[in-house]
Amino acid sequence: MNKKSLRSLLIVLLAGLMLAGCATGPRAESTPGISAGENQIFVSYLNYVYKIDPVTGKASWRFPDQSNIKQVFYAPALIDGESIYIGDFANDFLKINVTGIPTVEWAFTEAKGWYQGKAAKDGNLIIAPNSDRNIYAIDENSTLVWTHPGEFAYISEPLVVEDMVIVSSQDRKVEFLNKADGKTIREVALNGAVIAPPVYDSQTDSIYVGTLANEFVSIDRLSGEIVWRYDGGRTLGSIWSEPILVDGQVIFNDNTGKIISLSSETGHENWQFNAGGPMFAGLALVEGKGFVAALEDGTVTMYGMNQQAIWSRIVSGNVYTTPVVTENLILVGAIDGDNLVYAFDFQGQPVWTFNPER
Amino acid sequence: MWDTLIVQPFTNVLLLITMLVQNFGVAIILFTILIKLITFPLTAKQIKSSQAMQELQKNPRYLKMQEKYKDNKEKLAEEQMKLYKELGVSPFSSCLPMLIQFPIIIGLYQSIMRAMASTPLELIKLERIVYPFIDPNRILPIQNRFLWMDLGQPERLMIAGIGIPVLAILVVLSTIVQTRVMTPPTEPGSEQTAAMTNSMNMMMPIMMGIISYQFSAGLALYFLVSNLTTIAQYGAMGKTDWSRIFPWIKTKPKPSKPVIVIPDLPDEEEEEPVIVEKVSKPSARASAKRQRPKMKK
Repeated sequence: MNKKSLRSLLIVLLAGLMLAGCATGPRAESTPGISAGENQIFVSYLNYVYKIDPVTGKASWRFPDQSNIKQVFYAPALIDGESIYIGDFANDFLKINVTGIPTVEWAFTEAKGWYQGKAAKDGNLIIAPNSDRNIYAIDENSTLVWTHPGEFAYISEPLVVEDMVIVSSQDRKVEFLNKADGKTIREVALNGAVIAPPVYDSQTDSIYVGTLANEFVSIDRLSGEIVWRYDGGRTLGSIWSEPILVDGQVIFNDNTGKIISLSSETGHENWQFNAGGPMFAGLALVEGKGFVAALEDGTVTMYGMNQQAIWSRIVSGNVYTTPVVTENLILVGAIDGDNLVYAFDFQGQPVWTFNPER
Repeated sequence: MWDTLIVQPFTNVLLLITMLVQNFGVAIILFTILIKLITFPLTAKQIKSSQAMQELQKNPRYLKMQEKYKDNKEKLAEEQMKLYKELGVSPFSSCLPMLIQFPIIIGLYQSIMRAMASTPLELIKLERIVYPFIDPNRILPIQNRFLWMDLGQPERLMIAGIGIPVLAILVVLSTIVQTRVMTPPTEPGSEQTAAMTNSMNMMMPIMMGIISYQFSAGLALYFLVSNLTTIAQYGAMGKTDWSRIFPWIKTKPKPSKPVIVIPDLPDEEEEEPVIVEKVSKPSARASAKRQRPKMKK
């Protein structure tokens, strides 16, 4: 091979490697995952998990220190005392000690897909949904206890009630699993995919889910029977988020911005109103005050239980993540805007914003 | 604009096929073949044009011209253009169909990626571009499972606990065949071009293999089907010398093809070359020009 052809080969090789390198980055677009515990806030977005000081809104640290292009975090962290559990898009599920400098205690690496949904913990058992169509149950030592296979990617947080693990499925159903071995107890078929996690109501011992097929249902936990089904006389839109429970009411929103209150026992409509625009993020309950609704366009409004707006603010960017309420803050995650997280107090006053260093 | 005109219609057709066949893998295959068939006239034109250019480059007059004006690039270009004009061949006519196809291929790739929405945000964005004749609730989210593959994840076939990237291997092999099919045999005297072409031919399969190994299987499946369709199209046009690709295949000697017979390169003083015979099909304008009686000044 002469000098010229060797040079051209090297140029093409370099270009090829650069192109292939570009192909290894994050391949999915998603929203920031926010979770809050006692005096600590964690935000997962793109290549880092950030620990945020609730007073100043500054990042105490970020994990990992140096970004790995394949390691993308969108799932909210599960906070458990001095540790968090979080999965990434490099197919790893991590237990990270967060007391000082974040240190990985262990990594569970058996999954073959991304972790998009928050994990759940019950006693010694950590249950993590994965895009490889499996739910993984791991013990405190990262040993796999059981795997539950499904037909679609699992993307939402599992719900643990007594000896049951209840999971939403994009395969148009809700699955009830045995917590001990992950075997299916029953499946309840619905008309559309269920994206948001199920919500449990101990008063009625039933769970609530909405689907993309414009329906909202209550399912009896023990029998699996559908207690009631609501479609608002076929006026309901698709449901992308979980409901809140307040005083015998189940309140939820659809993608058109409709906010609806139903009797949790009967499914009878108490009231409904339109918040004014497309809405994919769920409602956040502020105990004793009301609830917060965030429209896609960044309009954040606090409503009283009489459905009257108490205050309204506009954040820069689009909101798809359900706001998170801490002891004294309302945290709103946004994308494509000036900041990633906006913190308001319960009176609607901006407290801080967080935008990660680029 | 790009989204509205290209990506959205493509995505909707892909979703429609998925709804009809109830399998996203099959839908990707059918959709890729469909697009390749639609763009086949362009491909055929491109093949014919490049074939004409190859024929021309074998021509004694062309070769003589190369030799004669090797130190005068400007004159060489001028003479070449004259010859192209006379024969109704355009050196750019093979580029245009390729340029038209390029956005279609990009749009095809983007629509496949978009249909494989894997996060709620991507699903929301996908649902928004679905046309009214498709019921999103019936089809979304798309079932990504196809054979042993998860089309949303990089493909590995587990054999004895080892993940073998079957699709990436097939993409590499088919890209090798495709590049060989599409590359004309090297002409004597064009070693430098041949070296460049060879390095490209070597790198393309490697690059496609790396991308297929790391990207989602849906995309790798598209690469594979696209390569196979292109090979089939070249084969169907009878432009492929299979023995160059698979040396164990013996091809029968082809009957001699019509040859462009052009007289020797005229001296610079001569005003107009006289074409004695021309069997290959020139453009209408060139034919008309040829039939017109020449007036000697």
